[in-house]
Amino acid sequence: MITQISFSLVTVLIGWASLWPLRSRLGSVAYHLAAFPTGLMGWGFVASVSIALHTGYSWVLACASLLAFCGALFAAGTWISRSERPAEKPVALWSFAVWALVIGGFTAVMAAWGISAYSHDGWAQYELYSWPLFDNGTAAIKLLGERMLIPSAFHAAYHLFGGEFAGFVYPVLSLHIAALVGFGTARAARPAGRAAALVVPLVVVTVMVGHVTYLFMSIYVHSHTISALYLLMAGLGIKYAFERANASGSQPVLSPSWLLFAGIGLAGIFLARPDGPAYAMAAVLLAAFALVRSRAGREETGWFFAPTVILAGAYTAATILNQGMWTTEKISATTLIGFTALYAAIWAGLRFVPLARSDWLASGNNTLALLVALESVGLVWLFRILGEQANATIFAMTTNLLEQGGWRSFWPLITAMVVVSMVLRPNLRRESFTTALLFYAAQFFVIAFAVHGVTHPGRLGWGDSFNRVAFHSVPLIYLYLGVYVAGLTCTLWAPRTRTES
Amino acid sequence: MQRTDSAKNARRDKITALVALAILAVLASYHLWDIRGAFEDFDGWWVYFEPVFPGDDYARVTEFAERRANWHDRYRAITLGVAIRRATPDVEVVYAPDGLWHLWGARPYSPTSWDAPGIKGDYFATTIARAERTTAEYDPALAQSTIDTWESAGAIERLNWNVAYVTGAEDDRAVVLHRDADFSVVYVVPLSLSPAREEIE
Repeated sequence: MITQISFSLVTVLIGWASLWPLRSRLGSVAYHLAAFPTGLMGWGFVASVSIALHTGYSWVLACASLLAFCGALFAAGTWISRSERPAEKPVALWSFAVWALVIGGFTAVMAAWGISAYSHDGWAQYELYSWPLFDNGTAAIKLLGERMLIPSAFHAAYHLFGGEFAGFVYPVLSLHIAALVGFGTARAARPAGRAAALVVPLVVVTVMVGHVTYLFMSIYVHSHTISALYLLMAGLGIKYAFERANASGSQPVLSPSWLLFAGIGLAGIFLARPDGPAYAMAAVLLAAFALVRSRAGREETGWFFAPTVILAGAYTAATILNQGMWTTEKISATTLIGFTALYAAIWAGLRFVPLARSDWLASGNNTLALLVALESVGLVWLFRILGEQANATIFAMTTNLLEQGGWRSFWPLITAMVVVSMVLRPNLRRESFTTALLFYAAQFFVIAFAVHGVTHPGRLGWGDSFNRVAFHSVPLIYLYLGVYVAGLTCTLWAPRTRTES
Repeated sequence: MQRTDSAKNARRDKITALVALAILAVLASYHLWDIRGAFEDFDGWWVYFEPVFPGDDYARVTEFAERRANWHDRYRAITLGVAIRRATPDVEVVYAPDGLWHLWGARPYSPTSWDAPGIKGDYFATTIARAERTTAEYDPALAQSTIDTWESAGAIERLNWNVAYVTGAEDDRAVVLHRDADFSVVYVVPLSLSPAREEIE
């Protein structure tokens, strides 16, 4: 049990150290919640170094790599903290002890319980390929092409502590998802008073974690829980960066701290699954809306994109050094280079292309409208070229979500809730960014259709790739609903002021 | 007049909010009520892979893995790799006969063959063991008396898939793979304890 607790606490420590200069900008809750996911990215960087040098893990290698990882984020945070004033109260020292107790305690319970669930992907790929990675920095082709970096990287890091099977990490990831949804909802409900800020998130989180699919994903050794966590982190980061800009008056300035928070999430989505680079595009589109609408400065754009371009670039270079220009069915070195270059190009486009600063795009939800219009054209085109396969994909997707995928009544009920949120919209106390959050969740499905339509139409049953991937959107949808319910609560109980939608 | 409109709007907003909250509460209750399936018909409710309890033990992980007929070699080879690591944590060399099938009583063309290309049992075993495999000519069969001696000394740790390892020489850097007379159990034996030590050296 000490092994598991040590791993969790060291991972949190990596995150704390990396984000230390931003603690008063993010606030204590978000700072602590970001620590573990950021720490896991740190282990991803250790894996990249190990792959590049083709050498096994050792404490010297791990400490040197983590020093570079933490140092880079610390330097970025220090740079940001020079220009961005603290928005929150200083993080109390006792909160570090409390968070260490929470993570350590939860890890201890999960380690003692020893619960897990896994398919062949888990026991014979994510776990298996962490061994040669740990032993001699071998990036097995199966790992590169079918599994990507982050899950096997933290499985390998766990061996450094003397552990064998890192199944306990998945419930810890799930705990973070629940806490982040609760945090986002509580923040939105705060104007309605303390009781609302406690009760509303509690109800929303209980409904979310009480569903069988969420419970399963909390113990399932795969890329889903971690992808869902990073997708949520990116969404929350962009939301708060945007809201800070809105609150700052006539000359909105996006919060660089929150953009970096979102940027870590973006890098996580990219590196968690072989199709992660495609799904990360949902966060890029959401960020594009926020950056364009807020007329973000050149520097701000960088805080969002830099973690992905740097970490994905490092990983890509490391794998090519290790295996040459490798190819597999799902993804190849060339594809990875292409995606990394694409993200760098979007970064440059948002930073330098004058169109991104046009008045029309910056007005209202015009950017979102434009993106939806472009996407609709893209989808029509995709349907035309895919032909029958598009129908087969849609059939497999919907049949699984509604009947055979193990979701039970989840999607009809969630759809009904979303419809209620769109139809019954009181004008008072509406949280900003709600439309954008819904756009974000919808984006995910559009990309999922494109990915699965192009690669394989799917199969019936819960094990179908899309059916499992659909889980990534669940925390986003609950965040959206939580923010909506918080808005309703504020309409009923908060002092009246009008806010932007 | 403006004040009246504003008050009306506020009232309308509050009613809208109340209606929305009421509908959502009903939907959420139904959503949450679904958890009763866990108590009424667990298998119908939980259609996914069943929760298992392997803890931190990778050998036990294979015990609970989904069963596929042609994957027996994978489960056993992974367990063998774990056994090698546990027998001598700093293992560098694994002495084995020319073909893992010699140990397992399988036929030479079985996918358990050590030298079979691709991802077969041998790959799993060497991956986990982190050791160089050296082909050696020796008799892998252990005498029953030797097994009994180790057994009575409490030196045998048994894992699933009929894999066992012998403890007591953890500082060794090499292990030898043995089997019992009827090909049922594979034993990982530190070199210094192996009856085949002289043959190999």
